[in-house]
Amino acid sequence: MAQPLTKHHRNGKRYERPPDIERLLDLALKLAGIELKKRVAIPDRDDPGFLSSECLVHLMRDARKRKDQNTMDFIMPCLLSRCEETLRTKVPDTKYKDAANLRDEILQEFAALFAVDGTAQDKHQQLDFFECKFNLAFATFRRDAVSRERTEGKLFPGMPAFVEQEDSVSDDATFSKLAKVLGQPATHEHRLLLAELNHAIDTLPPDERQAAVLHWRVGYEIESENPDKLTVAKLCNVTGKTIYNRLKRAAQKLSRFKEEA
Amino acid sequence: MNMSSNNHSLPLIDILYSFSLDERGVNAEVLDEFIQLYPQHATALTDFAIELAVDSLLVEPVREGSTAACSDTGKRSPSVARAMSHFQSLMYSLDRTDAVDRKHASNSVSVPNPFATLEQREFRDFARDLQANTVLVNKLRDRQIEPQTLTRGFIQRVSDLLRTKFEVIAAHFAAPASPRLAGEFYKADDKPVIGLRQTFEEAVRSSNLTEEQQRHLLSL
Repeated sequence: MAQPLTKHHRNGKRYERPPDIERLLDLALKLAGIELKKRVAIPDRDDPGFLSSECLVHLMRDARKRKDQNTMDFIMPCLLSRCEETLRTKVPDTKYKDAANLRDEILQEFAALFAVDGTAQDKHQQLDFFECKFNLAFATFRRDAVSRERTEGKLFPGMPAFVEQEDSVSDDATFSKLAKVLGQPATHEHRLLLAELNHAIDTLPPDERQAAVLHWRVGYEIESENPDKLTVAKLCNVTGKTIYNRLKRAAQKLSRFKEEA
Repeated sequence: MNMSSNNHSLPLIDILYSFSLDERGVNAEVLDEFIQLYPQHATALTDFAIELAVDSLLVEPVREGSTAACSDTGKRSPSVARAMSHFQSLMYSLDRTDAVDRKHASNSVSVPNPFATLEQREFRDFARDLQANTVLVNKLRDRQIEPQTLTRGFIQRVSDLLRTKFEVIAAHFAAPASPRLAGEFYKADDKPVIGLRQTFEEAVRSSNLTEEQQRHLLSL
């Protein structure tokens, strides 16, 4: 059985790997040599022999702890290749001026987590999170680097193709259609549309982007009469009217997407 | 906002992981709850929620990586090779430091790597303050540059930025590169040669730096 994680929730309970990961680890920890190598190299999630990234993280940490260089040498490149594939989607060349370097930096910083794991330099033991839900943990990890690019203005400028349009439909109707499009879960069926929408949102001015995402994707109300209730206006520290105007401007720029609702 | 909490001890990174791993996903209810619990991080949590929400519009690939990238004979992508190099270098340096610490060895036996203890953000900040990028700083950290080609002004600048004595920085650059690094993961078209290093100018020219950055660094 894999060793328990050491990170704790805020209620004091230890983080635990999901049961399916534990089951997979029980099997994987019994594998050795060629068989383990073969299983680690399977890239297709639908293959019955596929080892999840959560599992690879644990195997890698285990090898690091034992200073098992051979095992590290074949697990680490596979894990990094998976991350690289994800980064190509999440940090695309079309969105960042220097996407290749940014992907490189993120990948190297991720690799560094394994180097420091278990040493005196390991202040945060972040890899525990990756053994629970790899994709979400990796999304969290990426955020720092991507946010920095945003604040340093390294994103591509707004797309000129989205011309503001006069709209005969009422604001309420437009807002509700955009809420429907933006509120939908990401599926492979709508992959291309969602990627375009992601790009379009990223090219909005920061104040419009913030209002649009908090209202249409995260689900906050614009404002409220209840002073204790968190709203977009409160989170952005401006009036409801200001948020409404920002949303109106954002809606004009995103108007072509409302037809997809 | 009427928010109170005594959850001040958790580092922000833990709070962000906890937020993103929440089973309920990114929505107003979850963000509300976290902001109530950690009002001191309300802005960071809101910014993070926005990034996660936008990010979640992009669908992950079905296949994770490629078989070629993982096989023995397959060629690793340059990006993966560089990350491996970084991993090996840092691991080597940390393990060596640990071993030296355990044996209470003298400084003459081990040359400390002043880059090894930098956290990710500090590493990036250092690259920015040097008016360089992490590609070049990786080379400095991994001792991939001929020490005699480094200018005194450049070493002094590194020393100032790292707040470390000039002699310590100079000793780091002068120490031999790890044979493992130089041999196994060196990024090059030809078979790597153990111990091969670039001159300072070559390193600057081949690190994807802007013309202005190159001029600045070579003028130090």
